[in-house]
Amino acid sequence: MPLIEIKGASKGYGIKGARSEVLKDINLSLEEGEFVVIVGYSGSGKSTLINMISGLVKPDSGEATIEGKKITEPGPDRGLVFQNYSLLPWLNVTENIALAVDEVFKDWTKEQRKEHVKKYIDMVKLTPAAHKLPKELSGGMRQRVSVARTLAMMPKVLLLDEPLSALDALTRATIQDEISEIWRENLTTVLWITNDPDEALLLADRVIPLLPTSPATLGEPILVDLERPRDRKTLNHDPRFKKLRSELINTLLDAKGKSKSKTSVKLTLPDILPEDLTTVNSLEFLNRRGPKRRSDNKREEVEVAV
Amino acid sequence: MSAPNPKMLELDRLWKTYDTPKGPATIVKDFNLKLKEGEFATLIGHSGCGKSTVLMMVAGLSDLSKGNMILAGREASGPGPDRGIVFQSPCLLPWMSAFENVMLGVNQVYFTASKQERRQMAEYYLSIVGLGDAMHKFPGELSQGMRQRVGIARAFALQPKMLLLDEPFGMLDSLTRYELQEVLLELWRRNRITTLMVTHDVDEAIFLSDRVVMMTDGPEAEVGDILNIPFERPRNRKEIMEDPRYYELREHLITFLNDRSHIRPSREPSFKPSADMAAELATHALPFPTAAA
Repeated sequence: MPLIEIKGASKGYGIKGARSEVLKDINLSLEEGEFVVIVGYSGSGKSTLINMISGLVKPDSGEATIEGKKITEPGPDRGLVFQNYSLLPWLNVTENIALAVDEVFKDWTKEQRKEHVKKYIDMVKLTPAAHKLPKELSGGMRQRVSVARTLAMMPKVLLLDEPLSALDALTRATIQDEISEIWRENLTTVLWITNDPDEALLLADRVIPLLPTSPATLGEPILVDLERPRDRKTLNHDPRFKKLRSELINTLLDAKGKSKSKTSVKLTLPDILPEDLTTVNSLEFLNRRGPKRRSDNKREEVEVAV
Repeated sequence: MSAPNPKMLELDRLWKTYDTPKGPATIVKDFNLKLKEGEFATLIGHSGCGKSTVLMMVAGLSDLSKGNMILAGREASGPGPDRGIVFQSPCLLPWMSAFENVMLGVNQVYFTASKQERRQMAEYYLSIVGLGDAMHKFPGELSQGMRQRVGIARAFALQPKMLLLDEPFGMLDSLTRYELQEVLLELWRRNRITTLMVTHDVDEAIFLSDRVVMMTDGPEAEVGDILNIPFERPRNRKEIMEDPRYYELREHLITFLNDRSHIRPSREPSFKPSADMAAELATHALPFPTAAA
């Protein structure tokens, strides 16, 4: 039995008359220990999809299940990481993580919980910053706290909603490698959402494009059978990576092209040329009526002796 | 039309120096580049190397400390509508609709044309960038990608002699970026304005440009190498990505950025390439900007 399953789910927002359907006929199943990445355009319903699993959004039809049980509300068995970190600003790194740990593992001793928090701070390499407040941390470090907090709850599945989109390219690469590393050691199930095809292929076992049809549907999954650990430098040379990359990008671009409704409009490009604004006060403008035209350049003046 | 001008833009030993409490700091040193009319060139380099400084000097928004800049046979100084600029964020006036934002410049440079012709001009370019239905919306109602489309339409509508693009797609996500690259190429296909673009995206540089100019690390940045992109136009992303040459070119650029960007060609005496490196440099025939014109 798959760990997470979505069957025939669809979702729309708004009241009758002004309603827009976002997702239609979504079927997705996640096996235990799998790393799946969903790639799609911004605004195409990626977050709605992940929120169906987290329990923050209820599908209009169809259902989402975890271990066969229907998902009706959020719970600690599904850990969420958002783009904007969502840390409590008045708590330091340790306290932010302890908050989640204390809530989930109420029956543990104080010592056990303390040890547990420490272990996860160490895992994301933040031990030297354990007593800092979120505002004293960089964006990349904040996102690491957020990842540590979520992992510390030991969820059955880790749901990441564009976790690295707010970070610069270098930090993004570092954290991609770190999360990939943590995943290989702990083998949690991961569902990662992104709009970056390269990020998807670097991390995933399976990449599923979310096609921007209206409403959006999931496309054919692409299996990424590249060995781990994956090194981004050597991947660039790998013909299999190149093939997967162009396959994924083309699927997404083609779907976008098809989703556009085409109407033909007749446009006129007026035949005028820009004026040289540095010579506005010259006599040239007195002798000429109307704008300079491209067709003037083609006109030839020929003197003919009669 | 007359034959294309072989020297649309000439940058001759451009310097940019700032005074600091510790003495003058040279950001750009002896920067040479010549662009043909109708050429699309890209400046690529690490962040902070001075790419944007060069672009801003060409735009006239930053003074030259030393050197000459000749645009279409005339010494250029100060900004003007003959050089259209697209910034990383499109800088639209929030109280004006997309159409009015474009009309602002159009009314200036086509002041001798009729009102109808000026309106047609703005409508034409806004429709080509895909804003035919949204041109009367305000910037606040548009997505980041759509705002950048307005910025591109605004620059093209003025038919400038040169188009200067400063990481125009840097703030967009990768899929929107691909779309806007197509939009830019479509406009450029209709009107081949000489273009200088700054980017740090290797794929973007290869897909869009005729020549990629690689800059060495700052300070004292200069042209390190120039790569010609041989793909035919109009370009198709699918075909280019399947072309074996694409990965060779990509490799060349990435190698430069990773391993060679600290090497300064103008100071060759102090730098002795290893036998391997010398052989590699010879195969690329390191085209100095003076020789490339």
